[in-house]
Amino acid sequence: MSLRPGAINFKEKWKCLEETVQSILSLDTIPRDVWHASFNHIYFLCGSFPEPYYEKLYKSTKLLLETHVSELLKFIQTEGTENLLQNYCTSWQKYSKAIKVLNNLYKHLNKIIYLQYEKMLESVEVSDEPNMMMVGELSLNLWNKIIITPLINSMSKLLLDEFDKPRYNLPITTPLDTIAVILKSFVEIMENNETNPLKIYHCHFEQLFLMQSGEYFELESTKLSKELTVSEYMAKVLVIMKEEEIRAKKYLHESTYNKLQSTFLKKVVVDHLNFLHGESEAMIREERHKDLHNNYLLLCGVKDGLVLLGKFFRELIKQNGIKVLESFKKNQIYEHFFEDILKLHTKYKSIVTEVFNNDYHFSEILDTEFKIIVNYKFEENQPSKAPEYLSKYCDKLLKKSYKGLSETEIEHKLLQSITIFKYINDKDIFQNIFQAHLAKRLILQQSQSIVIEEGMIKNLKQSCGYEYTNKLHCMFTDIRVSEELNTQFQKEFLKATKDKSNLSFSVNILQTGAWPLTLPTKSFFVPEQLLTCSKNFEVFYKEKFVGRKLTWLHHQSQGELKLNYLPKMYIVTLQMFQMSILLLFEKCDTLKYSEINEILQLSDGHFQKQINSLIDCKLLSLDGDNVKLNMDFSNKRTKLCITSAVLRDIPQEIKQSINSVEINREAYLQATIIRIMKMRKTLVHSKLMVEIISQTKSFLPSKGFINTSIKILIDKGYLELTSNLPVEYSYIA
Amino acid sequence: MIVDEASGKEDGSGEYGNCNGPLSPYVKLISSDGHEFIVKREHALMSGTIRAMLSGPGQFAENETNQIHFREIPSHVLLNVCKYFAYKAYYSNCANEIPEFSIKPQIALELLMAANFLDC
Repeated sequence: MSLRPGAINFKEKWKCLEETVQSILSLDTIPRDVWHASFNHIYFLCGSFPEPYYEKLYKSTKLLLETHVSELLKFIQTEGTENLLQNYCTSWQKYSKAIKVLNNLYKHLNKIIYLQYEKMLESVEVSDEPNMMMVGELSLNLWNKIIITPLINSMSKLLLDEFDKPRYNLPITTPLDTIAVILKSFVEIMENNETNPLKIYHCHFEQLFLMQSGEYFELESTKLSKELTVSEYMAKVLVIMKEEEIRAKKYLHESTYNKLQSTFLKKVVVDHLNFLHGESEAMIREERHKDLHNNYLLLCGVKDGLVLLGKFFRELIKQNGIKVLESFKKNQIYEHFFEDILKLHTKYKSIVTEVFNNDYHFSEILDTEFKIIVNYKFEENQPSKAPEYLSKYCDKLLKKSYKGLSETEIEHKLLQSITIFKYINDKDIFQNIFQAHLAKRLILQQSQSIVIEEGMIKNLKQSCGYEYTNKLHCMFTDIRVSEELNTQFQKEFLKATKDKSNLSFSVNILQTGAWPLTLPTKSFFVPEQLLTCSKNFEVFYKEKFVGRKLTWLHHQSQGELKLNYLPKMYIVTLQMFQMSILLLFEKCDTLKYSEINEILQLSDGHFQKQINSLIDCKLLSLDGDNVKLNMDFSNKRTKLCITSAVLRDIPQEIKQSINSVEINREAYLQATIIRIMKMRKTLVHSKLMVEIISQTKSFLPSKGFINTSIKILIDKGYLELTSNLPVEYSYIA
Repeated sequence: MIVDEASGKEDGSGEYGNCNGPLSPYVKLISSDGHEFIVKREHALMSGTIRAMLSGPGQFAENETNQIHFREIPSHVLLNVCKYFAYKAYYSNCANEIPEFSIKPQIALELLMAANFLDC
């Protein structure tokens, strides 16, 4: 035998082939040889010479299939309507498996048919004969024509009935799996139809199903809304929704579920919108969270359903926020202010997460309202006090003197303060004030724990970025480095010089740029006891770091003096200037006021403040022009601290920081504008505004502010107005 | 030798799989004159006809050999078919220049008919 096309007896070949096809259709097992041989049969039939038999083959196969399917139809219809669906299902399952195998077998014929089809597409003439389809398609088509078309109406009615039964708690006669298979068959029949593959499924099942479901929902919802209260209604309706969802997803085609859901929502929710909204406000006020949750679930699928709920929620936050602000106006205790705001915030945040499923709409409402509350301006024309109060609050938490809370609790409170920090508009004011407080804490060693401080700075970095906390990090590094330097200095120098000075001396080296401290303008007379030490240190430092300049900040330094001239020994912590005044009395008991002034070379006002502080605490006594050491000084405590009297100048610091912030802001804004314009070359005014606001994270520039900056830049010659309308700017390189 | 080229080594372990069972790595193609060609299953499946034949009704039993007896294809043709399977598999994902698959003119016609039948 060879593969050459040759004359073939059709009848013979067809007899063998027919047997094979029959056994395939009845899903019998076929011996291997027979299976392989049938491939040969088909090949030879198609390629036979002189007359190709493929058309005949096709027709005979078609006939065979037709007879088979008609028999199946008779079988399905035999036992009446009860078993109609079941029989259909079993027959279909067998048939679909068989035609897959058949399609494989007829591969060669299919190839020829496909070529014919392509030829037909190219040619212009129309043939009378119906086109030949590939065998798989043919079989599906035959099934559709012979079985589905006559039976479809009765079947769809049965299917709809079956599907409806569970809704009324009636027992179902046909298991829903069978129904699922049947529905799938409707879809699979049309899978070769490119235009509308779901045609049968749609027309004969889905539309009717949706209509029926709609009626059911309408009846149920009207009934329930009359009998039950809103909360009970919502609960029951949600249960029904869940059931329908499970059933639809399991048994129906995937495209149906969405349509079912929208019908459901329309009948159950939209038609009863007033009913549902009636109690929404009460629910929010009385904090009935479960009901509110149900309400949300039902309304979230409906367009604009949540608008009303959102409105009520916003009102609620606003009212409670105003309450907090009022109480603060009365008390002016900023700690309570923050704790109250925090409590409010946590409460509403939990409502948004739990009740509203973290819906974007509601968390947005929460954020906007809280922004308003936090940035509330207690006085007109002044920036809001929030950054100042927040930094004071943090300062208190971070100081050693804050007793009563464990470290973890303090960390927790600081973390919470970050949530409020995110709402503050003037973040740069906060940065300045916080930096000033931090400087004081670090210099005077008042912080409770470095770990907590660093944690706080890390949190700030996470919310605002690296630049914001850059300087703060520098400050910490400075302190750490200074500690190391001090130990080195102690070891090296004091050993080397064998200086029996009864002083202990430590220095903090601070970088000029990172610390918000001003350099002293006048030189100061250092008392002799400290002179050697400070000179030694300068030498030591210059050896270590060549080329760096050191400037002493005496107004920040402090020291401890042991008073030995009194019956009881006292240890007094003093600021530098106060200490130098007292040290002058080491050799003598009385000095003239003017003398002291001359020696110290301080400015007058300053000097007065220092001396008065000493006089007030009775260490010195003023007698006309003479200043005398008070030998009758006594105090209950042995350890005293007199620095506080001189260091209370925070309000000025704050005013200063606010002013400097304003200047910074101008510069920052101008730099941002130039940067944007350089990139974009030309930009419309409104778009420029949008860009600027998105790029300035540490404060919220007002429109007037931006406009003035733009004007300044135009004057300076960086931008120019183009003649286009609307207002457009272009960058001048 | 040609069989070795077509089948190749499995895992470099020196052990070959067999042709039995539905997941066997090799299949056996038998020509009209009884010559048995054992090739890798994935190579043989390049032919549409062989693929349809092997996915026939029912699975191959575990100890049943996956073999197809081609009563119309002589061995000198089937040999070239197997060579072609290996050639195609090797150069399918190759970006380099692909050498020509040489066909002796004497067998060209028969090879053409076999290719038509096997759809590859």
